[in-house]
This record gives sequence, C-alpha cells and structure tokens, in this order.
Amino acid sequence: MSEVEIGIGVRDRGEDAGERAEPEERVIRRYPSPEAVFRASYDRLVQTLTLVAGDREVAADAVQEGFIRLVREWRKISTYDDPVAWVYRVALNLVRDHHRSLGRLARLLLRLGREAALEGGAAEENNGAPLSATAVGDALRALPTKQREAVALCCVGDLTRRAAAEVMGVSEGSLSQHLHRAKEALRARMEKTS
Amino acid sequence: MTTDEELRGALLSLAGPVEWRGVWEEIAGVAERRRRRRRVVRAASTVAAAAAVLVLAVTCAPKLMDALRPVPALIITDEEFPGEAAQPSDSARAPADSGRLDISLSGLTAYDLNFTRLWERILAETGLAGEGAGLEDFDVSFNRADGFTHILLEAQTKDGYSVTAGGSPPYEKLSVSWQKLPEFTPHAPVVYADAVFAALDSVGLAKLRDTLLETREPVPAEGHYAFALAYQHAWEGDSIPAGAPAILCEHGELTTLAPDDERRQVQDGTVVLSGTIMEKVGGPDEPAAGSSTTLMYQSTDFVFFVFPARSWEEANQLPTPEQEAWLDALVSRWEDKGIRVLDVTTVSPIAGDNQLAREEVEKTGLDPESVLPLVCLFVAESDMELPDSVFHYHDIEHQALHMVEQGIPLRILAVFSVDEDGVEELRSMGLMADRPADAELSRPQKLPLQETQTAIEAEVGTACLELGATLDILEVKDEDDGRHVSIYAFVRSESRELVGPLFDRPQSALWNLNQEDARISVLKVSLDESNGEALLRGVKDYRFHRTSYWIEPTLRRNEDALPDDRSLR
Repeated sequence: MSEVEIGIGVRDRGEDAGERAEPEERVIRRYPSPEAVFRASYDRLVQTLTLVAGDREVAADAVQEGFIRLVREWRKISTYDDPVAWVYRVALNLVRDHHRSLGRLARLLLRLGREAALEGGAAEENNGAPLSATAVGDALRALPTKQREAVALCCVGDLTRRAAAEVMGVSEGSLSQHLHRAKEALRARMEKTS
Repeated sequence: MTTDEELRGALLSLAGPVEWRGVWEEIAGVAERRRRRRRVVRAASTVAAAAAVLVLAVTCAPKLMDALRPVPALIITDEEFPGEAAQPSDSARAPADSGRLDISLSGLTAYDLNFTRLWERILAETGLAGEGAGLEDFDVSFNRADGFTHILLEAQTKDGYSVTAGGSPPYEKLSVSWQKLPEFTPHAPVVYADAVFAALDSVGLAKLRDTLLETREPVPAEGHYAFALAYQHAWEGDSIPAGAPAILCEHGELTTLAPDDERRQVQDGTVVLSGTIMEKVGGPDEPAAGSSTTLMYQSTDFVFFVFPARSWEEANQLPTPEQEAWLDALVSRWEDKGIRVLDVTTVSPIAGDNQLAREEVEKTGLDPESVLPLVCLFVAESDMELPDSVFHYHDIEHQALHMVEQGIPLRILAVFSVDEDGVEELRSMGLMADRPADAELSRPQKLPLQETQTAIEAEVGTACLELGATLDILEVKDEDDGRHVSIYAFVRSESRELVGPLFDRPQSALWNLNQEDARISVLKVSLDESNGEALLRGVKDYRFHRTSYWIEPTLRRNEDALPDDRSLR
C-alpha cells in the first residue's frame, strides 16, 4: 500500500462515544497520488456510504464522484491532513443531496395521492442492491440520519471521532451523542434477536 | 453484551464486499475528460471593463471564409503541448531585453489547438513571466473546415515586456518576438491573457464556430450584435446542473450590454470577446483561372461571453446551527400560513447561485455564516400553476419578508418547483434583504375590524353592482402580520367582459381606510365566471409594496387600459 502516515492516529473504536472520550491526536496521512488514496480507501468508503445511503449503487456513484473531484483538486487536497476524510465528506454530501431530492419527490407524490406509485418505486429500488433484511439492517434503517451516519463513519469507515465530526459538519460532542445512541439501538436490536 | 467488534462485523457484513476492478480506470477517465473541458477563467473585467474590451483591447475575429480554397493550416500537436501545463524551460533565467524565436508547428487541425498550452509554450520558450499578463490584441481567423488563415497575439507582461506571436501561410512555424518596453508603468490589464485563452479553450473553436453560424440567422441589423453566450462547462465543487446549456445564443442589440440591464448582468470575471463572422454569399464556388471575380461576403458582428467557473467549498453546504434555527423558523411560518413546503435548503441545486449569494453578502460586508445568504424553497409544481400561483408566490414572499422584518437575516430567496418526475425548476429568485416595508401596517389597528368590514363591503358591493359581478365572500381578518382582506366574486358569462377592474376598484377605498388606521396589509381578489372558470387573481401587498395579478387574456384589468395592455402578471 502506498500510503504514508505521519503522526500518530489514536483509534479508540472500542470506547463508547457517550462515555468520557480522550482527546484524539491529529492524524496526518500523506499519499503519493489520488490512485493511492483510491486503493487505500475505496472499498471501505463504499461500504460506509452504503450503510448511510441504504443503497449500494447510490453509494458507489457518490464515492466515485468524490474520487473524480479528488483527482481534479489533487494539488490542493494532497496537502490536507487526511484526503480520505475529504472524499468521505464529498460523498456524504452527495448522498445527502440525493436523499433530499428523493425526499422532495416522495413528499410530492404523497401529496398527490400517489402512495401506490411511491410504494412501487420503493420496492423496485429495494430490488436493486439493498441491504440484507437482517435485524441490524432493520435497526440501521430505523436510526435517525445523523445516528446512522455517525455509526457508519466511526465503526465501518474507520474515522476518528474528530474526523467523522468534520465530515458530518457537527461538533465532536454532538457526534459522540449520535454515535452512542446509534450503538445502543443497534446493540439492543442484536441482543434481542440473538 | 455485544462488543464493538461484533457490531462492526455485523455492519460490514451488512454492507457486503465491494467490487472495484476497473473502477479506478473509469474515475481517471472521467476526471481527464472533465479536466480537458475545464479551465478556470480568471479575468478582472467588470461590466465597464468588458465594454472597453469591445472597443480597445481584444478582437477575436474568426473569419469563416470560403472553405473551397485550400488553406495551409496552423497546426499544433498534442505531443508538443502535453496534458500538463508547460513549465518554463528555465524559469530561473531572466529573459533577454529582446529576442526572437520560432515555435515549430505540425500535426493536428486548427480545432484541436489549445490556446492555453500555446501561451504556456511561448512563456516557457521566452522565459517571460505570464502571470498577470494582459492581452493587448488577439486575432485569429480560420476557415470553415479546419485551417487558420491568420493568427496574431500581442501581450504585455506585468514586468514590462511586450510579446508578439504571429503566423501566416504556410504556417510551419509561429514567430515570436519580445522586447522590454523602455517606458513602462505597471498597471492592471483590462483583460488577462490566460483568462481569454482559458475562456476560448473551455468552449473550443469548433463549438464556437458552430454556435456562431447558428446565431447568424436572422442577420442582425447594422449596429447590432449577435450574442453568443457561452457558459463555462464545469462548476468547481459541484456537479453541472442537469440540462444546463453549454452555449446559448441570442440576438440582441449592443445597448443590451448596458450595466443596468438586469437580464444581462455581467459578473466579475466574465471574459468578453468581440469578432466578426464573414461568409461568402455570392460569386462562383471556384474562380476560373485568369478571371477577375468579386466575391461578396456577409458579415455579422458578435460578442462572445464566457462566464467564469464558480467555486465554492463543500464545507459550506451545511448550515450552521444558527442558520438551521432560522430555517426552522421560516418553514414553521410558511407552513402555519398554509404553504405546502416540500423542502428548504441553504444550498441551491444550481451551483453558481450559491457563490453569487455569498458574494452578494460579502459585498455588504457581512460574514456569510452570520446570515442566510440563500434559502431555496421547494414546492410542488401543481402549486405553482397559474392562476392561483399568483397567491402562492405572494404568500411565500410575504411571509419571508415578514420574517426578515422579525429579524431573520435572509438575503436571497429562491423558489423551486418539483414535478411528478422529480425534475426541479427554478421559478423565482429575489433579494429579500433591505426591501422597503411599511412597519406601521403590522401594528394593532385603530379602526375596528367590523367597521373596516362594513366599509369594504359597501365599496365592493357597489363595484360589483356596477361591473355586473356578485360578491360571494368578503373576509377581513386580523393576523400577526396585519389586516388581510380577501374578496371572492363571480360573474355570469354575459357580463364577464366588464369585470376586469374589480381588482383595482376596491384599492382606493382600502387606501382611504388605511388613512384612518385600518392598517390593511394585504388585499386579495378572486373572480370566477359562474361556471367556475378563473377570470382574475390579484394581490396587493400594502406592507411590502408589491402587486401581482393574473387576468384572463380576453379581459381588461383597467377600465381605461388599451386593448393590448393585458399583462399576465
């Protein structure tokens, strides 16, 4: 892997965000090229965004667009502490835009009394590349958006709380709360099922 | 107790494996294609400067001569000007006070020429500093097929060098000369050379040619210009709005370049090029040997705009907590007043609008984070259809202005409609800040509600009687943003010709009542034919000084209006 890491990253994934969190050290990652960023992070980005978006295709499109912009802006982004976090942010914003747009359409269709059409569309979408209908999947879908984003970014995306908070555009305190609640909800569902 | 690792494992299992073979190649390919199209346009030309450009600085004259006569082409290959920007071959060395050199040319057609790379090559070969260089003259002529007939470039560097590059048949080389100007006062150029070249490259000569040829018909009258409005292809930091035109052509008069023209406001950073298309309109296709034939050309002047790429950071997409609170207040207000909100955002789907909104705020000296530079309201397209959209637009704007008056620092409001296919369309966009308002009208009324109602009823009843309408409902309500009057009337078909003035008739009575502190804020008039056909929708906002109306096209709103004065709104 062509990633070069400078500094020390303290990954306290084992610690619940709702508990007292130790301050994280700054992580600086240097990559020789956009392709190195891609090879180091693409699969994890898609997995994380899939959990956020609930749709593999949407996630993959958003991540690919993030990398296209990374290539375009490489001269600038390569100086950032963590280019991967930047791609996360771009992709997350694109997923959010997609959801907003879908939400507007859904609200309009509901308004127009076309619930049947909406249900048809939703069913079709779920036939594409959906999350499997597991207990965790159900619980994840039921989470509020920010909780879902927090748990995906921190638990799967391997981002520190600080980086995840920056990606989401919230404070670290807020991120910790979302993460804590999300984990509690998912754990409860998993334990109930088992 | 489920551990974090177990939770992570479950989530990863849920997300599933990722296939990424071929993905990087696709990403790199798309990025490369976009890179070729995109050149950041940087120019200091304001409207005034742009006007000066037309006269003084730059002439770009693609003379589309007859394509029959074989013309040696000025050709520059991609091999000579590779993808990355050319670096000065010896950037450390100072250029000589004067010099001359040739750049050899070979290879591709004229339409593959990249002016930016050509300029960078000239700078690299001469050792001149290109940053901040101004373009003094630029003239390029080419024929319809693929060949140049002439190229001339004159620029002045900011450290006082004049550089000229030119070529003429047979175009095997481009002759470049430069010299230090004996007397030079540093000054900001009217047009930056790299901006002009980037602008041209962003569109491409072939597309420019095709666009201008399409624009040629109908030929504008003498003294008029054909506009070729070229929009920069890519927006930095966001995707291109779906369906956005890459090039739009219109005919127009030179006077429409006036700075106060709202429709054609030229933003900072816009590059303006003027030129002439010449096309052969008479004479033989091939002059006979030894004969003397006069060829006739038809010329069309044009002005070519390239708007700059707008850049904005993704980081600015997210509203601050304070902005979110303001948004919530706006949405609550709209919904309380019956406006059906699909969504509200601080980011426009039209990327350039976000930058413009921020610039509008920055011009006022405010921090964009401390206000709401732009709010986009999404509503159903069905709510935006005439005639009732007259009321919907008014309600949206009135309530927004009310909230601005209450302290919400909203600057610009954009209203988008969403159709059943999810297509979003900008329907209106306007400045909400610093709008005149009559604050008196939102204060408690001195004239009692009942007295106001009685007075209006008498006035409207008389008007209806005279105009052949029947007053159906008269509502007078006191709300927290003033007193609202709504009139619903209908008319039989035989009387419909006369009822147009029903919107204006009550207004003088309401004005009189406001002199008695009735404090009427809004008047709405709905008039239908008895079969339900809409005839008139009008709203007058006394508080924010706005009037909007729609009238059935065969009717007249004003009793003394000319027959053709039948505005829709």
